Amino acid sequence: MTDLWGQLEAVIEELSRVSDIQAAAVVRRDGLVITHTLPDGVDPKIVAAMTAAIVGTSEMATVQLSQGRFNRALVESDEGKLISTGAGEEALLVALLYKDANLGLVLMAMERAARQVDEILRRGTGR
Amino acid sequence: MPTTKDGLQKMLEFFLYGMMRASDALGNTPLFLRSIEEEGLRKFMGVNMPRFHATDDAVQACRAYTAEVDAEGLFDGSDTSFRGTDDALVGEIGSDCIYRRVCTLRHDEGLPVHCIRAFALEEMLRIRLDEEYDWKLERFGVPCRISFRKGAWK
Repeated sequence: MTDLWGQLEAVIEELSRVSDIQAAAVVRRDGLVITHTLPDGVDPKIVAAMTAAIVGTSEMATVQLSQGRFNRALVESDEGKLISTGAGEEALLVALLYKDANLGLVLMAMERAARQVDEILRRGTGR
Repeated sequence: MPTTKDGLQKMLEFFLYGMMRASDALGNTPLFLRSIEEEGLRKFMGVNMPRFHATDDAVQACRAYTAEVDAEGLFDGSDTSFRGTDDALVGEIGSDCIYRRVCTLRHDEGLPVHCIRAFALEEMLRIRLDEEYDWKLERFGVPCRISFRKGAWK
């Protein structure tokens, strides 16, 4: 494993330690997993592809509806919430939240983590 | 009248163009095309390309894959070449590419050109060499030039 991958893993582990976050993942915009803390029984490949699809469709919806720049997608269900957001040009960040999660706290942590992922990938790819 | 070679080519173009426009509307065409190649290769690589055995060398693996696809009659690979290193390789695809008409339509319409063969090679390298590569269309024309760079995070 490269140093770059290790840095991304550290970011996602720190994010996963936020008490309202059950698990998190960094994925590529074309739907491949980079790193994750998803629980056993959850297929990270499917989560990565779904995240890329959710963000892609949401971004397109904001453009088509003239809603400005896409920030994040929030999926609420009976047992929890799923938040997906961009993390630079190449990556996306997704977090699985507990049902009664404090969204303000989680969003702050996700924004920080997304910036860190972007910076790490920019440094790593020399952009 | 039974399906002809020309008819099959038209059908390929019809579906490919339609699927790409449909996935454009849904917002993530690269995800869609990469998923198609991944699922298709996992299912059919062993069956349709029984003689293909990738080496650890990415350039050689791309050459061997193209030669096998050619040998199986899927398309003419004789105007395709690869050069470079394991970390950064370049492929050139000539005028005989079966996807050229669809790519030309998209190019002329001002839409992003997504090279199906680049997606296929990227997935082949991931499946057979367990290596992540990112491809980029450096030049659309005759020949098309695509670059592959090893992903930095694996």
